[in-house]
Amino acid sequence: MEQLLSSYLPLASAAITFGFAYLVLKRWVPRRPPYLLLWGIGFLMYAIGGLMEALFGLFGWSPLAFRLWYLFGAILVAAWLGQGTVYLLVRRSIGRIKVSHLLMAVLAVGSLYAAFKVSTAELDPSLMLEGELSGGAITSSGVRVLTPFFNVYGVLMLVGGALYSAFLYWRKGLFANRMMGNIFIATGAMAPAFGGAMQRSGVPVALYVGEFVGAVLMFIGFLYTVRPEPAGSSTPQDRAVRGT
Amino acid sequence: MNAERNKTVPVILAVLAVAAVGLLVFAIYVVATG
Repeated sequence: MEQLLSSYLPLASAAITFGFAYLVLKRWVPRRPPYLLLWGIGFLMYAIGGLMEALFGLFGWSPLAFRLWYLFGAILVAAWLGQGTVYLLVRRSIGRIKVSHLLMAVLAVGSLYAAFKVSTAELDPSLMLEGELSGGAITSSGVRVLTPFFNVYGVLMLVGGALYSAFLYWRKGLFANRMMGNIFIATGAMAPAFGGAMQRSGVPVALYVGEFVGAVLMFIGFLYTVRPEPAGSSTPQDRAVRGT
Repeated sequence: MNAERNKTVPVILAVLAVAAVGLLVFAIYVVATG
């Protein structure tokens, strides 16, 4: 049971999100809209995080695997997924500069800073929860404090965008599949964040379970949103899921 | 399913929004307490 939770559960999360990334990037290829690229990258990060957790469960501690897990799985994934939603829904500009590009630039600089901090952080694996990767292994200051900033941005944009889209569909009484899909995506996006919050509070395997549940729910949401609807649509969410 | 007639949808959306705010508050707490 312990092996199942610490190795195979994150491996399953990684497999689902690698598949998810493949499907999203496949839709990105023909017309290359930025939001699909960012979602594809975000799901690749999700998958890398799950894979590193599985490697730790199967083969034990590795500083490189931990750094990759913390950077991609704990800090960056939600923010990059959320940035995809920003590209999808935010059309405003400040002067001649698009707000989405401005936020992307801030995220890119922040991500580079995070990569530097994580790659140079001092680690002590004995401080982690037993049998799973957790941020407690980082003993350097100024690293773990970065995580909430990225995750708040990511959850607000990803969950906020999905709830906003679902609400619009509900109000218009249209596109029930896409509305349901957005509800699943919003719920799924919050699951790893809840898992992470519970892990911070010392609850074992909560993060791994949250990540797996999140991957499954977002995938179900994705399948809902690509189901054919009886009528056509030209809303941003429609363009997103159809990659047009 | 008719999305317009389903009155539970806004309730679900409101619950999810409250949960997201809860996460936000937790994140602020984490930052504030170091």
